Amino acid sequence: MEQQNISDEHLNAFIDNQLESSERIQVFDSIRRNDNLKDRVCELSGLKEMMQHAYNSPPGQRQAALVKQSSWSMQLQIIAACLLLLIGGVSGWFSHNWAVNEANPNIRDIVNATQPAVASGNVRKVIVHVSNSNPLKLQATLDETESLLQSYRQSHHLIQVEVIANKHGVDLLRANVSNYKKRITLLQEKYPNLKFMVCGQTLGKLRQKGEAVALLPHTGVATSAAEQINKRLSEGWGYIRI
Amino acid sequence: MSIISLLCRRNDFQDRIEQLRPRLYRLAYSWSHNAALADDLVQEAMIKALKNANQLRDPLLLNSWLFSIMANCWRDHFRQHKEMEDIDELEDFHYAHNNTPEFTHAQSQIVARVRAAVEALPLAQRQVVTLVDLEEFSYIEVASILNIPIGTVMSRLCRARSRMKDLLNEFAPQRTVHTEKIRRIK
Repeated sequence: MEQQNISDEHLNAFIDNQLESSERIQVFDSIRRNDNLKDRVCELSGLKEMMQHAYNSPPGQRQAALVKQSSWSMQLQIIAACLLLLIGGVSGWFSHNWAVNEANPNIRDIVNATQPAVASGNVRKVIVHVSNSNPLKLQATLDETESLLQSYRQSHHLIQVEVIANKHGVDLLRANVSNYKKRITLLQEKYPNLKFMVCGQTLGKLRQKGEAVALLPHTGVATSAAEQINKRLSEGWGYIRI
Repeated sequence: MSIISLLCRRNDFQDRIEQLRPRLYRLAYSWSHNAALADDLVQEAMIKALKNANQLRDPLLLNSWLFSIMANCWRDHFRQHKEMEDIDELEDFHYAHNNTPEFTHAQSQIVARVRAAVEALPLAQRQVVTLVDLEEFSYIEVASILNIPIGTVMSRLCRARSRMKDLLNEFAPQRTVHTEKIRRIK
């Protein structure tokens, strides 16, 4: 793909990680061969970085209560909740255990489906990067990682996977925030060749803001995500960004 | 499905919404550049989300659903207050602030310059570029949040970034040319 064929829209999509992998490779190839294109990409990336920096800590956020609601509707809700608790107490008590068991079948299936790994050939190494706390992306991170590990295990090939989270993506591995604690624990138990890491710089920033940051067990801390990714790439690892 | 689990789910829903408050505020601020208005927008969006919680079919889509509610709140606000914008006040601002030392200093700082550039973008472009850059939503998600075709997302984003580049150059502090004057003293 020649430079003149790469439109600004296409280049923006490249910067925003919206292209298919084959298209990304083509753009990478064009960038390598064309300094002017390289400058355009740098300029757009710089612009994106500046945007994020400019709104990193917007001024004047009120520490408001969750949501203002009229006292009348609040009272109604409290009364309704009490009534519901009374009426549903007994049935709720009995159905609770059933509901909890219902929520976990997938995880149980995953644990039961564990198969022994068979060593053969070289070890494939992949680093998976997540920087967004969008639940779809967090879920995709775990799904992709798991399917990767599973397919390699099934085909009796060796693979080592490292998931690194930075920016809002660290929510995946924060003990008091993550909705995926159980799943991550199970994945770690199931796949000893899977490692979770967070960016030390992001942790530092969160602590500076006064947030208490506790990580899930067995989560490593890298000096910075960029450094870790660079290190792994230079060691020949594959890179997947979610 | 038990009643207790329903109540627990509602609490969980509130917690998840509350966790998104700083991000909603950041985006609302990038749209309005007004702290009080941004706070009100976030509050309104959260109230609407709680009232219409049953409309969220897939919990995984909470983020884009909540941001689309806030986009609607912003659109409503803009429609209601469009006529009230005081042009004279804007003129005063420009005349009063141009070239004052404070203004020049603020403009020289990168954060102020980027915010000023974003503020100068047309509203539609501003929304797209902030959703993509600050919230890192995919183009498809942005299209769904703003209820526009994906092609429009791409073209608005492209125009927004191109305009941002020009504006940032425009807002960059002008370098004055200093000519060395040599005086001969006898």
